[in-house]
Amino acid sequence: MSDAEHAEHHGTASPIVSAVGLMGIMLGLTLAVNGYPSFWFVFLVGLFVLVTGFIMWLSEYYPMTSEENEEIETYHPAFATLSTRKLGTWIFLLTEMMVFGTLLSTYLRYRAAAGADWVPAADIIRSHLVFGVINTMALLLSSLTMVLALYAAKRNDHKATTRFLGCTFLLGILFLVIKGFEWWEMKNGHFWGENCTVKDIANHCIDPKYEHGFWINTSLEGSTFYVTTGTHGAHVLVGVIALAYLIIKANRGGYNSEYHDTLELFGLYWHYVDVVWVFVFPFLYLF
Amino acid sequence: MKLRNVALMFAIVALLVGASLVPNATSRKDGIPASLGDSVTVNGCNCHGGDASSSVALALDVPANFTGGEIYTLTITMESAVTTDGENQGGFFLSTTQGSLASTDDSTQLIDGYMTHTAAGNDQRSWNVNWTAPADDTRIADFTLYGNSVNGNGAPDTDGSDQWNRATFAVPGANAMVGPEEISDSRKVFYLSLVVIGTLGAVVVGNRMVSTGQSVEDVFGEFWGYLKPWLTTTDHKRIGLLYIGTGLFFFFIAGSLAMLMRLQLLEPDNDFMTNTQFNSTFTMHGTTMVFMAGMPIIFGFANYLVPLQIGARDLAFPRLNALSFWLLPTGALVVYAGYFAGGAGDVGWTGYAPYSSGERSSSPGTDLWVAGQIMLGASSTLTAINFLTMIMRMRAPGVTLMRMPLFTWSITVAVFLLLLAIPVFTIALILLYADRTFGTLYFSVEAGADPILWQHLFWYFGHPEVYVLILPAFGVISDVVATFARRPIFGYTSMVYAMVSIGLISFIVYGHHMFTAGTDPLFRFIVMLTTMLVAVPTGVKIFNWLATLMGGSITTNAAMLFSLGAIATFTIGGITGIVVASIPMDIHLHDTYFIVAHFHYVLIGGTIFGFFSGIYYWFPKVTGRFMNEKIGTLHFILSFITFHAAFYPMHILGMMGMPRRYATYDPALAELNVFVSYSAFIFGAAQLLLVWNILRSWNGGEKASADPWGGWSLEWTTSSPPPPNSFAEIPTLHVSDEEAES
Repeated sequence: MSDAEHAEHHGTASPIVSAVGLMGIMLGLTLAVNGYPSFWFVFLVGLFVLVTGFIMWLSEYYPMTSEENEEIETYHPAFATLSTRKLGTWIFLLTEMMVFGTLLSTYLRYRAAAGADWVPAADIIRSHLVFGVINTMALLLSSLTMVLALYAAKRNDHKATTRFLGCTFLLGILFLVIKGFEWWEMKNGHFWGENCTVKDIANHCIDPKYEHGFWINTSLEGSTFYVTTGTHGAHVLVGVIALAYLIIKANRGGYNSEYHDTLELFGLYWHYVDVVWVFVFPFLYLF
Repeated sequence: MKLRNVALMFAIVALLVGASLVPNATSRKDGIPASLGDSVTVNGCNCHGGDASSSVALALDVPANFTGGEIYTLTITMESAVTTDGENQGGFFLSTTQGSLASTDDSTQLIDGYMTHTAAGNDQRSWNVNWTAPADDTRIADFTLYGNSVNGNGAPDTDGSDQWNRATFAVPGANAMVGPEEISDSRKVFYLSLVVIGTLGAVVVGNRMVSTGQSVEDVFGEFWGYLKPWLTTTDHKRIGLLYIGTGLFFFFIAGSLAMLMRLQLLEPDNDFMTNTQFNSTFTMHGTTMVFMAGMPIIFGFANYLVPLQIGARDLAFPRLNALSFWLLPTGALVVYAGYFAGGAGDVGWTGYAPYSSGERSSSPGTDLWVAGQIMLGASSTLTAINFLTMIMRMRAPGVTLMRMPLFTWSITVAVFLLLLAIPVFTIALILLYADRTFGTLYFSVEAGADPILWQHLFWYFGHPEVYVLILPAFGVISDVVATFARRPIFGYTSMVYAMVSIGLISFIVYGHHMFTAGTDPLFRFIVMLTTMLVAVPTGVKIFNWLATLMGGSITTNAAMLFSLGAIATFTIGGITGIVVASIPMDIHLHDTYFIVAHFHYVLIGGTIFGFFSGIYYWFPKVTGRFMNEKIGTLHFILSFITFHAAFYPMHILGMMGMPRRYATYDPALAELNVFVSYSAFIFGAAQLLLVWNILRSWNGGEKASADPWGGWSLEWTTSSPPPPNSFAEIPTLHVSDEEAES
């Protein structure tokens, strides 16, 4: 809105609705788990309202067919080659770096301090590392399909765009499903070497510390593992939900050579999630 | 979109219904259980193992009702599946709310007013006790009985054969009225406020209907017509005003909490508040002032002014800006919901774990305190992204980075600090929430966690946070002083570099909050040096202001007075900061009132006085009217004098050893505390002058032109108030001849 014609600000209720929804979620969840089970109702209402707010938000985005903010000229050389939204996305990713930086540095600090006493999750996963490898391949491949989707949009190939976005979506879902499976098995103590059984502790198949399973509240190793990988998984989940929107719009030809910036920006986020995995995987799964 | 409206209405109704499920909660018993009796009434017989079990049946033969003053013999009996012969079969614990208990034989004993078994009496499963009814027979006596049936092996329970249970019995007096269950105080307040608001609303609506002859639907429609633009706005000016209004509202709430603290501290061992209530009060005071008053006022000013100062029409992402705002009242509501859940957060605004993650602070109020702040952190992060993008990309022609007004520069540095610091705090809060709610062990020392991990994470954020609070105030002072000394600020370039260096150094000084936490001596030493170092750029700024004043032609009005007062007061606060930057001094002064004095001098002196100055300065721009100078001057004189009267003695109190966050103090310090309290009351009352001034000047003040003060920046080129799209045409900043020559 850089000239007098774009005089009006568009009023919208999606911010206040989303905020109220989030409030319901926070109030509901907190009180429900603190001894007031009637508040699960508030939690659900809050979730519903938040989803409503986001759908409202997206429905305002949906008709966008041109880079609205491209019309804002920039009068200065700083960041002139980036669109406003892209610059905003990069700055957002900077904050995300701080998020994962905090989680990983806490984990590393604790691990370093514990020294030899630390029994890493890697010891438990090693027998079933194939799942982690599949997940890594899935994410890396999904970054590729994301880029291919962007290229397809740029050459106006709507079907290919939708298909590549669909592949990215499916790979994200695969990642989450496998991770959920892994967590379930680890929690219930089902990951063991091929040659040992649950009771076969004398052969040091699994550290006695995790004889009964490996979970969020049984050890510091567990807490750090699940919170760190869980936060990463949450980011994948958010990406998968956003992909649903992108697929819907792409299917109707919403992304073309004129307008494909949203795909590129989402791609940035998705690549970032992939890069974080490239750190999380060795630090938590391999060593 | 009708469907949307229906969905919204459903959601609102559902939320209201849900809110009426506000728990019937009373305050939990506070503090550490001082006796066995307290421990049992809070936790049951869990020293003997596990939770209550219905396999134990308890009976107490109480009369149907009692006559005042009579003595009754009560028999306690316990039946359980576990039987043993002879030794150590079981025990009991009986308490009553009315009257008194007494033993009848040596199988029972009275401890702290509670009746329990003796060693001789634990080989049986029934006991007799005497109960003397209270003289007043309109009361109801509530008995709570715990019975513990054990297998007699004298060892902790391994196979579930040690079980306990709990039962209650109510005995009304002969003339007692047995009514429905008492509702808690907080619920009473909630219902009362609903009634008050409902009545007021009906009166207002009815009055409007009569005076304009409209129907109910029309009146609501008219009201909605006023309200809806505010709820759905994405205009940075409106959002700015929403922020400032919300911030001032919470400023008064937090100020009232402070008044409550000073009431408690009027005398030593005062019983105005319990210890736990005092803990919640100083916690909520701190959290509210920092996150719900300070940050919103700062970002309210930033939202309104920074686009105008750089010649942009709005922020980079206006709708995201609105979301940032709305996360503030909603997040604040979550934090304050603690008061309705048995007690608001009481762990200090710094929320140190493992105290805040452990058993001792298990009230839901603290969980809500954590959850609400997660939302507030999200709000600040989104704001920071928005501002940095706008400042980098949307400046008008001629507004190069080194020609931006200093207020805009201060916001630029502040949002950069927020970007890097807030996510860390948000993660720390999430880890704390996870520890409290999901049982993770991040702060659990028994599991091997670092007892000061929280302190590192919190202060890594916390120190840049206080610089976020002060730098924009510096920006306001720079702009105000330049205008009212009738010359551009002295040393603009050094001012910019000073702010940037303060911002950078702020990340490497946070350890000075942890000098007594047992950190590495080398770490402490380096932090001491960096903390002293940050005084250098700050000093540069102070000297630049002084130099601007020295060469200028000074006008004194309310805005200028507050800026001058801010400079003087902040300088004192900064000097005491250097005092406590020294490790040996801090070891003595840490967690005393000296620290309280220090940070109130910089926060009230710097931030609050700075933004009061900003209010008087920019009010004409926002409303097109001047504020009343006489009231403003009175506001300044009263505030300045009573502030120093209230906070200066705290330096002395601190040096004499008065600890902070305590609900009492050594009686030898009573006189000073009384003086401080009364000064604080007057300081609080003086702020009402500001509210009055704002209200009466909003529509009734003397009219102001586009540039009534002769300001140096672009916001003064647009009309007062600015048009809806902020600028009729995007201006171009030209360098004036004097600037070119300087």
